[in-house]
Amino acid sequence: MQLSTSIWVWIAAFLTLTIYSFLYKDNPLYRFAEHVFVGASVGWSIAIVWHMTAIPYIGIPLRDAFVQRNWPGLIYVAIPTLLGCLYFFRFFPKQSWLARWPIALMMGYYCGISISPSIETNIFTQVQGTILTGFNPTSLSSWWALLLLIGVVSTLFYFFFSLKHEGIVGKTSRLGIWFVMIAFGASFGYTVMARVSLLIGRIQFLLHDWLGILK
Amino acid sequence: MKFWLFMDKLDRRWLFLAIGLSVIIPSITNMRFPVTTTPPTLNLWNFVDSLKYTKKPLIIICDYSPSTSPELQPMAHALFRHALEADIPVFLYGGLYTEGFGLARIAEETVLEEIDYQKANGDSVIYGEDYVFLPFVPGGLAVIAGMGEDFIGTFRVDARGDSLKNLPMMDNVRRLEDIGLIVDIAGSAVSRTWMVYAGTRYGTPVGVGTTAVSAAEYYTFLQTRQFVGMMGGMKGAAEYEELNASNLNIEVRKQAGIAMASQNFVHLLIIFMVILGNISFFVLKRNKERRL
Amino acid sequence: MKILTISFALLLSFSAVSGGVSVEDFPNDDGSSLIVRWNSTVNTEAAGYYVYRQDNPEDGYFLLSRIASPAETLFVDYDPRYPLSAGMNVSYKIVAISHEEEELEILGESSVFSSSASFFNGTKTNTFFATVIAFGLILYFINTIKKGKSLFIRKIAGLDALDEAVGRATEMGRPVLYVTGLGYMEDIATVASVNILGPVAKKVAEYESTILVPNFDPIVYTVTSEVVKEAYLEAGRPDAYNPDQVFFISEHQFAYVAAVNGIMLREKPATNLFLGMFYAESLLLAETGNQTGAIQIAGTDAVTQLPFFVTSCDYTLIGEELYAASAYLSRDPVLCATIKAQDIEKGLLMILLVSLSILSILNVFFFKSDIVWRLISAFFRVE
Repeated sequence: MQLSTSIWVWIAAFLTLTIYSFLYKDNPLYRFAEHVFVGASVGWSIAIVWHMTAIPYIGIPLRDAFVQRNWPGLIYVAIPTLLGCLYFFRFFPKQSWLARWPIALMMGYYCGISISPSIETNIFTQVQGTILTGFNPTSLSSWWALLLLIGVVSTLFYFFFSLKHEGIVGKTSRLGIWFVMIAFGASFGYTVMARVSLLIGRIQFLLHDWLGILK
Repeated sequence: MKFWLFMDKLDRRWLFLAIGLSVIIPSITNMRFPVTTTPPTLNLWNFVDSLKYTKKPLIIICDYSPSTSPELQPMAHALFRHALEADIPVFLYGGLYTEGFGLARIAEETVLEEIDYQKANGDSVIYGEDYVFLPFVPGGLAVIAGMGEDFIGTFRVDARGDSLKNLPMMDNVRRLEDIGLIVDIAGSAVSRTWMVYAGTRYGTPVGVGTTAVSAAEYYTFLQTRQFVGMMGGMKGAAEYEELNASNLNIEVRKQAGIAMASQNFVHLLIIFMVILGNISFFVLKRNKERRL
Repeated sequence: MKILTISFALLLSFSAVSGGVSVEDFPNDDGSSLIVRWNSTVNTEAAGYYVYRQDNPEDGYFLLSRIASPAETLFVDYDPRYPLSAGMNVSYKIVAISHEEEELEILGESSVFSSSASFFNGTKTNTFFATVIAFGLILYFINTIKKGKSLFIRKIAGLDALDEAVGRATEMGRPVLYVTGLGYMEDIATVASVNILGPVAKKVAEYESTILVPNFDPIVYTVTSEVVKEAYLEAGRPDAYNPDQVFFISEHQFAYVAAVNGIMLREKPATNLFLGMFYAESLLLAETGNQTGAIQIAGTDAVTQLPFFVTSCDYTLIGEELYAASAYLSRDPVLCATIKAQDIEKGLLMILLVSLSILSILNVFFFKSDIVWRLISAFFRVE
């Protein structure tokens, strides 16, 4: 056993234990740690954005353009900066409509850039991957591929809203919801695993980095 | 009946204690379980390893926050270690959000100290030739689009503030097309963003390291090879560490590998609890019906 | 026809041949690559070629690349060290070299070629048509609805339970809790949730019951308070509207959850509705609601949270069902048109999946030709 000599490890260990104290009961120490976490993460983000965005992408280019009397360069930086600043009008209820300008611009940009690759990734490639090609009755993977095809088609039936779920449509969509539930089961299992991993990570920190019990 | 009533009324804090103990006991008793490698991790390892022949750079993206770092940080370490040992040029990048920058920095420091700034072939690790640390750039999706069109123009400087243009590793990198592989390590859906834009739009192979929560969802994209491979949760990280150890003879502390014993014990406990809980549910239900 | 002729003429002009070295534009790109072709050398001592490029006549030629095979007659110029871009005027020189890297003969120089970007990326034709079909269908259905035609959308199972749940709350004299989740107004799930809130609040007003709407985001809060107020007005009960029913809690995930859980334990709502965007708090909320014995209806498009809702709620609207429920209840033309258009697209995909799979199986057993596979690959080609 070799206790850590780093003050930061001790602070982190103290905060970890105060957060876990919630498992017994809500208490002021837990709330203290929660507030420290929120404050620290916001502070970190502000520092990163200030040093890696505001200064290199706005401050320095504006200063350089001004010093060099490069007026087109100045406008090139100033216009997007001003548009971005319109976001702050959210704080003024009467002028809050001005915030819609940058939002509209961003929405337009994101829609434009995402439509084509989204169709290619989520539809073309996935549909092509589901089509049964080179079916070989003696190969197990071919039967898995068939099961996949049945799963996809029946699930699509479940999410088909233009037809009543009756007769063959009803039966197929019922099969579809079975596939969906099995997928949820797998996802649930994985999520439990993820949560346990987080606990293990913290306990490893306490036992290895702080107390030095673990090698 | 008494037993089932007792189970039904059991204070949940006893369960927390049981879970806590099943993590601590295997850890302090130094239990070890063999780690078997699954195809998604093996495919990723092989793809990364193949880059040593093409010398095309690998980008390791730490797109996560401290809350998911227990699962994801070992992945970043294992990947960075692999790239350095196999002499693959590598970019370390904190990703599209601010939090990842600090975690990528931890990965850099930890791995370099572990290997004592030396590669397996005895050469020293040289910044700018063997690896480059990229800075945080705001813009989300626009950053990926920027990297796709003009890599150097998007970042301009590295995380140390030096001009990217002057670094030897940049000689063969103009845009994403020139990158051998992107591995996005993330606990959110941002990996899909990299797949859609870097993968489909700019044709760069993309691999993923993800929390177990998202792993089930990503199998769909592994099947269509839109992700070349995947490390799923702490188990995925442990597999990658194991592959590093067996193929590259890297002997370091296996952060994720050590955790597998605890993970197995907790899983057994949970399976037991689920079975017990279900039996309790049906016994109590039948008892209630009888009384009615 | 005129366009075709112009395109053909342009295509021809892209190719410049001079002295046995020709340059072609690389198709479907942004002008950052060019194709250089030449006739292979007859010199038996040749071991390969040097490719020289000239960007500016004043600077002269510089060595661009070394080709290690004398049989090679094609080179694609794409080198990050010497980037090309649309509008650059370049010329190439090919020199045969020996094993000792001595220059044996100049095979030729190309004339000056101007690199250009393609107007349309031909490899994206399928994506283009898919986008046009998707947009076309939505516009068509919006138009149809605006003309007064009603479009059929099947009833969603969870929605039937909504009436029952609100009725139960009235009978028990307890409130209905409506949680819109952690989303913002730009999230589709939040928009859908707000659309469902209107009819639910109206029903609550009609039954003279109470609805509680705790909010995570200030903008969502302003919208939900307006929606509830309007619902009470529509139900003819503006006097019963209490502005304190809709309130803002916190923008911090777990602070919000703690407060909502507190409401559930104190107020003991008879019905909990969790509709919108949810993250790790989903199970915490639904589990607390389960303990208080409330009827719970959830709906979200967050795939990773759905399993938790399915296990702990009485009804769950899964993914797109949430949007469909919102369209069903609000009867908003754009929402209904989108659901309809998506149905048609899903139908098309199902037909493609099944028919191409059958064709492939038939091909394996009967036709035994690779044309089918090539056809499928070409149809779904993604580059």
